[in-house]
Amino acid sequence: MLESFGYFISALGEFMNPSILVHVAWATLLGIVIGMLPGLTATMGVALMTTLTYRMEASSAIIILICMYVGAIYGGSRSAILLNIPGTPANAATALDGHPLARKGLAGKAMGIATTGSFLGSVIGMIFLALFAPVLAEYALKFGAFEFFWLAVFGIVISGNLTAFDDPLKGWIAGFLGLSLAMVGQEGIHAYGRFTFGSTELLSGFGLIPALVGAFGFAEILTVMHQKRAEMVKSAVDTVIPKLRDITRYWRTITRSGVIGTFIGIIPGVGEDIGAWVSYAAAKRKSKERADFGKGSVEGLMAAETGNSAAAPGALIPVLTLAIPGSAPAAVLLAAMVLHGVRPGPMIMIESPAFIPQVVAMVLLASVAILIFGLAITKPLVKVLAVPRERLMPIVFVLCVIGPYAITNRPFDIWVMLGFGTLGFILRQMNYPMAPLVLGIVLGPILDKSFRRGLTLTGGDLEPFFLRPISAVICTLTVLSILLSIGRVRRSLGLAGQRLIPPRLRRSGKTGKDQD
Amino acid sequence: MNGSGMPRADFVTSLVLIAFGAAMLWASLEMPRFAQRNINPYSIPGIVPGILAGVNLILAAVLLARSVSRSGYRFGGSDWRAMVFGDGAKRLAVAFCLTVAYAVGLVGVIPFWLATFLFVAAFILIFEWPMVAAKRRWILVASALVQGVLVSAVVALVFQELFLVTLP
Repeated sequence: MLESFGYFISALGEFMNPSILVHVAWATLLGIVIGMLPGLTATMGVALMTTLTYRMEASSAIIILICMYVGAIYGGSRSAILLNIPGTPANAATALDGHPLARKGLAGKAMGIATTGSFLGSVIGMIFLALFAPVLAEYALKFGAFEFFWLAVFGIVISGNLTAFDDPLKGWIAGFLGLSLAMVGQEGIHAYGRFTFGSTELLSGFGLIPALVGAFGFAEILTVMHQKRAEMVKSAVDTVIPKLRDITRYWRTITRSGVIGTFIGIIPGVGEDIGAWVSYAAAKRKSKERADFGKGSVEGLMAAETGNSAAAPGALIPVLTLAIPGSAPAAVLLAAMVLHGVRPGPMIMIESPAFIPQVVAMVLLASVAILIFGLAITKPLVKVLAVPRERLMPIVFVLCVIGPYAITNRPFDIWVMLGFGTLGFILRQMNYPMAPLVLGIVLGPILDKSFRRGLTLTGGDLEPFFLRPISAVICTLTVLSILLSIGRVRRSLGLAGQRLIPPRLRRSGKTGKDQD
Repeated sequence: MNGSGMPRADFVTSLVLIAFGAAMLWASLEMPRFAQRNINPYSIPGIVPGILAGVNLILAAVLLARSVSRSGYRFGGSDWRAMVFGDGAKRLAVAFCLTVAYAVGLVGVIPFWLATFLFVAAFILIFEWPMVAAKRRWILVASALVQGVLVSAVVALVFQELFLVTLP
């Protein structure tokens, strides 16, 4: 731990040079602007920036990407507050209370609370990143083919469950579709080209960045053009600097939301939007002012923004330790790290022990930058939102075309972007979540190789898949996640649980809950 | 699993997914077993795609059963006219055609800066034309052309000169 702290301090010292600080400033500011603009999401921003920073030195490139990520997740709160349109999906819960506050003429206050919440959320997530990632990386060394297989399956199942709350079936369909699409191209054991239909382009499979730019960029453009125009709240700016009392009063909500956000971020493929929703729901349940939620509650806004911002560093924990992304933008970051020669995964603490503390320092710098920009330059940032979609979307699409092409210089990747964008738009219209699809594309090769390696090791015996301790735990969690999402099973389990509790205790428990 | 309130869309999707799963299963079974190379039979390429195809089929079957139980197979009498001919659908169709025409028809065929200029200017003109009064349309044309020039110039300069990215 002390060694990691030493690396962290030395990384901070290293980053305190003008060129890195300039990168932090412009990347965070650009991230905020990208997050603010409906049609440009954090995933799209990080994917685009990956292509721009492709030729840069690894540490500069990764700090730019992290600042873009943290900045964009925060930036989305601006459009949620002023337009009632979340700039990124992560800010959907922010709109519930942020926009009513703006309508009451308190847009400045709402932006100040969102900024503070985002800053505190990032810091809480960062602390967990610093504490948990090295421990998890060490633990992940025990993972073999069997565990990675179950981890991939669990990732898809839990991501499907949590990103499609009311209809997990659609989440699973999206996830398994992603896994299936990942099967296209040369497989990793015998180099056989699967589902290529004689095309040499398909031999290398669907690139993650073209697929993501399509699903989160092009699909977003189509969605924005499909919807009606949004009206911006006019009474924009009262004071942005939040009152200390508004923050100290809700310290419990902030801490709770930060912890929830981080842990939701750690779950593969679940991400910031669910982090915000779960934090918001928990805050509402515990709040004394729950009647104000949805009508302009400062506590609700604080919970949503703390939750989504904490999920960003949380999503980096599985990226660094297991090479499995916690969210869609984190999936791009994972791809970017690999492009820059970093090998995230269980070996990270052995191969590059300084890397995790460096990432922690990067998150800290990004968090400070959002606090400064968020509180200091409000008016020019608000003006960005006045750009009409008819002027903005063609620029976004030009970037969608350049982004996928720039890394491999293959026109085929533009086709992949268009294909995934169209597929993403259609699926979204039918309420299929995108995160499991993306996670499926990332986890497909891991699942494929782990399953076949596992079977080869055991000569076809499936027992170790179920009986090795860690495998058994992840397998049980997977089965439970499936069962608990089936309403009939959940109700039966609830009834069985009730029968196990003596009636006297059940009554007192009920009374306790009512008073809560 | 409460399910979504779109049984018709789910019905069609489930049929598409069943076709997809069946085709994937067939293609997986057709994949070589490399018996002549004497490889471990548990590492053959078709094994995981085959299992995934099976899972896809099961999930699609559940979706199909659910949509049928909610009469998703009954078509007609719906508000499909609004869906196809509504303002949103028109905007969507125009945006889709313009973007695909740019990405497939122009990029790589004519110089990137020219393709970008044409696309940006056309996108703005087509969408803003009906929203602007006849007297002010020359301002719209001028501003669309200026934005087209600026975007193509800035993108080309920033990507090629500053970030050393090769443009299509």
